[in-house]
Amino acid sequence: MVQEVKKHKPDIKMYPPNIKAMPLEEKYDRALDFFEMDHMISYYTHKRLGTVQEWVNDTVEAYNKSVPRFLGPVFKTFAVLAPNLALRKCFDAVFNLDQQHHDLSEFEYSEPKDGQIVVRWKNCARLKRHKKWIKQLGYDFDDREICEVEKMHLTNPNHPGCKMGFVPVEIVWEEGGCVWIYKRA
Amino acid sequence: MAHHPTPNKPDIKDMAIEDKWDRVHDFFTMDHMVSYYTHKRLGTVKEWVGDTVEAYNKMMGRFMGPIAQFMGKLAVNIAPNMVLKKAIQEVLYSDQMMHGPGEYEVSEPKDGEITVRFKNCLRLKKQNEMVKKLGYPFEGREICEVEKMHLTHPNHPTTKMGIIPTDITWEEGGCLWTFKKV
Repeated sequence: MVQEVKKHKPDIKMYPPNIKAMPLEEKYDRALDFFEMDHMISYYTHKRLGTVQEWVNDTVEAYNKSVPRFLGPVFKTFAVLAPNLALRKCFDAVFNLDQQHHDLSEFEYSEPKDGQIVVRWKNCARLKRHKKWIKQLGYDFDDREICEVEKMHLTNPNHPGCKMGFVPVEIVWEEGGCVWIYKRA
Repeated sequence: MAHHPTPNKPDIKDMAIEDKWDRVHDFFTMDHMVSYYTHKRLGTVKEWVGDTVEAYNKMMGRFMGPIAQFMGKLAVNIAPNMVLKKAIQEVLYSDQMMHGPGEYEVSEPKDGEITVRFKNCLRLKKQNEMVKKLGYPFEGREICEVEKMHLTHPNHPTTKMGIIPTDITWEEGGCLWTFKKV
């Protein structure tokens, strides 16, 4: 499919365009919008072709190759010896990385107990963007359908979290956000 | 909410906006590449591309809106080169959401034709890194080929406005596009 890469040297003169540098805040906001739109289009196509599960499986497999290695053998041992502390540390790490999509103020969790923790996303920035894009693209979706895809990822037995024994046992869609209860299996 | 109290805030620092942007860029690259991988193995890339350009027609306001004001028929007929130059400037401004400073070069438009270069392309760099990380059996450049499928699609908003890519060259680290206003 890929064409040969050429060294192209046109006779015409090229110049830097006369445009303003985009502020970083705007770059970030637009990149988030573009990501959510692109993700939603992928879902739309897979939904109409009946291939959502194939897409979810490929995504989860990709996560296994791209997640930071905090989900490694040392952490596994630590999780067995001190499950509550492991849960807390695990979600500190998850929330830290998840700031790419969310404001810090959106995250809350409970005190872990008996190998179980409750984590909450409130006033979820992603959900707001999902609603906006569903409307703009005119898709016949429920507001929560992209969250349901997220649920398919996080409950997939091949997801790195599940493989580590961090399994969601209850998921509640709340107004403007969600609650996930995880048990260290 | 009362059934599931969550009184604690995570013990983490606020992520710098530079890091947030870079990480979203990486996450987008991965997510987009996974979509391509799935569609490629299922033989449904064209379906996906068709849905994408259809969606682009509905999101002009966010990413391509300013083009429309330059593309009125009257303006095009009176000053096609000026219109082409302004349109490309607007596209490149928006495109900075995924590119670093200094990646763009443009020619002076002439006879309704303009050439745009992306050099040291950040998207290509990230695509090459991600293909390697995910172990996919294709080159990072294949995602550029998907971009080409979008921009040459008859239903793409710019194609419908009459801005047609007439020459696309993959260069080392980037690419060169010549557009003609027809």
